[in-house]
Amino acid sequence: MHKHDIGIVPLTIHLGEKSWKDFYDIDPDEYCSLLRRSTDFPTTSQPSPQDFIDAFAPFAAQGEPVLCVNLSSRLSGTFQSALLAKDHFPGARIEVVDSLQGSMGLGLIILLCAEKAAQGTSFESTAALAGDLARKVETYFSVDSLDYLQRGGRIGKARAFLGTLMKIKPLLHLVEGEVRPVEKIRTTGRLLDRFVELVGKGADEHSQILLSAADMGNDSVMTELVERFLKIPGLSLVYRGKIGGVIASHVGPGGLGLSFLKMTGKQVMPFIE
Amino acid sequence: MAILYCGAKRFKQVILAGADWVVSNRSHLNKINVFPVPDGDTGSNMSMTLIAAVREIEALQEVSLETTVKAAAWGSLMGARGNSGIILAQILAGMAEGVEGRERLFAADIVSAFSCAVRKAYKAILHPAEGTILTVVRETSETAERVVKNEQDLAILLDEMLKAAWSSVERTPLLLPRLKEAGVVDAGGLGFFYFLEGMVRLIRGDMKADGVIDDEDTPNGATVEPVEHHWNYRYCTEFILKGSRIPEDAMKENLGRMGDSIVLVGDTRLARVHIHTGQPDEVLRYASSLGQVSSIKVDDMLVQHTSHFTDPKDIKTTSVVAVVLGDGLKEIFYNAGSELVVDGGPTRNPSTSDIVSAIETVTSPNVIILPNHKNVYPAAIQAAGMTPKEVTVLKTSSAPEGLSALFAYMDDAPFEKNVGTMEGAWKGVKSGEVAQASRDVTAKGIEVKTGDSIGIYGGEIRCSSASVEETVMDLAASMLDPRNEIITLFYGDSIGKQDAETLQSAVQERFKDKTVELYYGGQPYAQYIISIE
Repeated sequence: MHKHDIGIVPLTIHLGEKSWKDFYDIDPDEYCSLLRRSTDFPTTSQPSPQDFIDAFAPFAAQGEPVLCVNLSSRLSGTFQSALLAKDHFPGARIEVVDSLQGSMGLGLIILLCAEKAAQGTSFESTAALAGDLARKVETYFSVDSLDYLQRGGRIGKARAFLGTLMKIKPLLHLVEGEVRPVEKIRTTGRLLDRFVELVGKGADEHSQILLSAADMGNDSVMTELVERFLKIPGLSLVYRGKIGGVIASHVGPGGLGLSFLKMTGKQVMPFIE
Repeated sequence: MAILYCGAKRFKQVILAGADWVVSNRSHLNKINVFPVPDGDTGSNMSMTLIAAVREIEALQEVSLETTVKAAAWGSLMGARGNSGIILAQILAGMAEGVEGRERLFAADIVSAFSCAVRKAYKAILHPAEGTILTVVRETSETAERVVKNEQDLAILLDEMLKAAWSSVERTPLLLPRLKEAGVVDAGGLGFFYFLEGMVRLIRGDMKADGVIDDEDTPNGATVEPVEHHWNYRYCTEFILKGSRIPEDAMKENLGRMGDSIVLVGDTRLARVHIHTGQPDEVLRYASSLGQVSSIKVDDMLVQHTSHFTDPKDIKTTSVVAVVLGDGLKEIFYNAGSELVVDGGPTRNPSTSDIVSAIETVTSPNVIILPNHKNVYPAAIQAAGMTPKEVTVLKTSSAPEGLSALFAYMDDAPFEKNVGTMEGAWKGVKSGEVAQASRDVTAKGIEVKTGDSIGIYGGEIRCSSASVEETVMDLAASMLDPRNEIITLFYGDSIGKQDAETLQSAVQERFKDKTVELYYGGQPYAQYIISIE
């Protein structure tokens, strides 16, 4: 984050009486264990337009362009807040992009854009790249139960899985920024097989896959999964980490998430560290 | 030129024109279908009902006015979906009643058919609400009765009926406050208006010459915000009941205790039933006590209701037909996404025609069959060859295998993709059975006495004991390998719930690192089905 001069306008997490600014105030692992112990159900709130105005102001004052990539507008009002804030600076070069993603998908887009910008790509092209990547990055994730998605209202079409009589670990994905069902899965074994299949599909020596993986209190399973991913030809693990508190509040403990970008032939990007 | 009568050919043409126009406007109707009963898409329901009528007419060998009207009535009754579909079917049934031996229908005949339809429709709905299609049909019929006193021209009659239908549609929000709140008119009533308008358009000559159905209408209706509802009766349940003496009144009363929006049409031998209920399983169990239940459709309205606001153009690309025995298993299969479950298994193999009619009944032109038993597979393969639909039969040979395949099914994924993922999903599950021996036998050194429980896996007897619990335990042990995660027990109709729960605890105690789940299967042929994955 520091390397690329990336700023974060955090969302706020509320659990019981307590509130935290995501990223700044609480560590994901710590939050996960709190969540497992808590009888309360977490909620989250988007940053206000003023938060974005405060974030944009120093750059606007210096005439520096700002690329602001946001959580999917289908999942959060953050994008809307950022748009409102942009209107506050009529002359400034501010691009607000709907990433159609959350968590590591959003992270992947931002990292790639930052890398391009650092290589001297113009602001306009970098902003266009962000919009392009929003549609190209694929995100798949699993949850231990649909409770959190349902109670947080972010369930989208995965609602179809509600009321399933037998216990399942739903495999889901984001389509146009919205949660959609992929498959009802019973065992961790099958879940991992499907993840590997989805990431590796179509991979060969001419392709490059940039992968970003994150979990929520499910470290050992993710480690096993990542070992298998690394055997896929052309795959680079760009990021391995934890699902942040805000998304974690909506997927619940035990979640596994993957975002990846598949490129073939000429499109190949330089390896990103 | 006045049109004074309607024969077979004209009847067919106007029904086609009306149906076409409803189909053309269906996505608009789907969008405004929020109140009063959001059970599926009104536009799609009315369209499919009318398409069923049209198919039946087009399949006629011998064309006369009587056969045509009866075909339309029969087709729409069998194909009826949703309240509004059933009411449309009633209108056609009303026509069919007075048509015996006739070659022509005159204005007065049509008007009296309508009046008859109105009476039938009000009778078919348990709690008729004003401000719905019922009101529109009734007020249209009242106008027709007035007009026909001085006017014999069908074109003018229909024109007047159309005007009356429109003003009635416009008034629906005044009668039903929920429509007013939502800023819409009643979708069913509007659908009926389109049905008439399609006919009038044909007569006026401004119907497209080729009569091609135009799917891409651009709806310009009111946009509607979702409103919170309490969903005690969230499952829209429909089925056909065949019996020898269906007690219509008693049935209505009993159903009235289980839900609302009840529609019951048909006669004492064949009835089509629609109900909104919290317990579809209870409704179906009750119906099964009265006769043979088929064409079951259970929709979670909460899902449908919400999905209106996400993607109104939902289409099912693949339907799944499963063959399974046991009410618990049937329910699990329906719940997991099977559109139709045919009764069948080791002790009851379904006929090819049972499977053919299931294939024909489901909504998608692409069908996947889960035979779930080796003896059912041949009939399924044969059935697949007897229908114009695209059918794939998976070689699932037990209920657990079928369920694993079904879990990979997505109703909006392309057919080929469903076939691929479902095919890949069921091979990871192992399934065994514990059943009571009906005779003495010695196999592979295992001595079995009549009445003992035997454990069967991989086509062989693995263990046997006088105690069913012991057999389950031994069989599970012989099937397990270290990579397995879940042991699922489905208990049969001869096993009590408490005994099953006690056994579940014992199995969990013995295999501590596995998850042990228990479900009611209700199968008659096995005390327990054991699934290991």
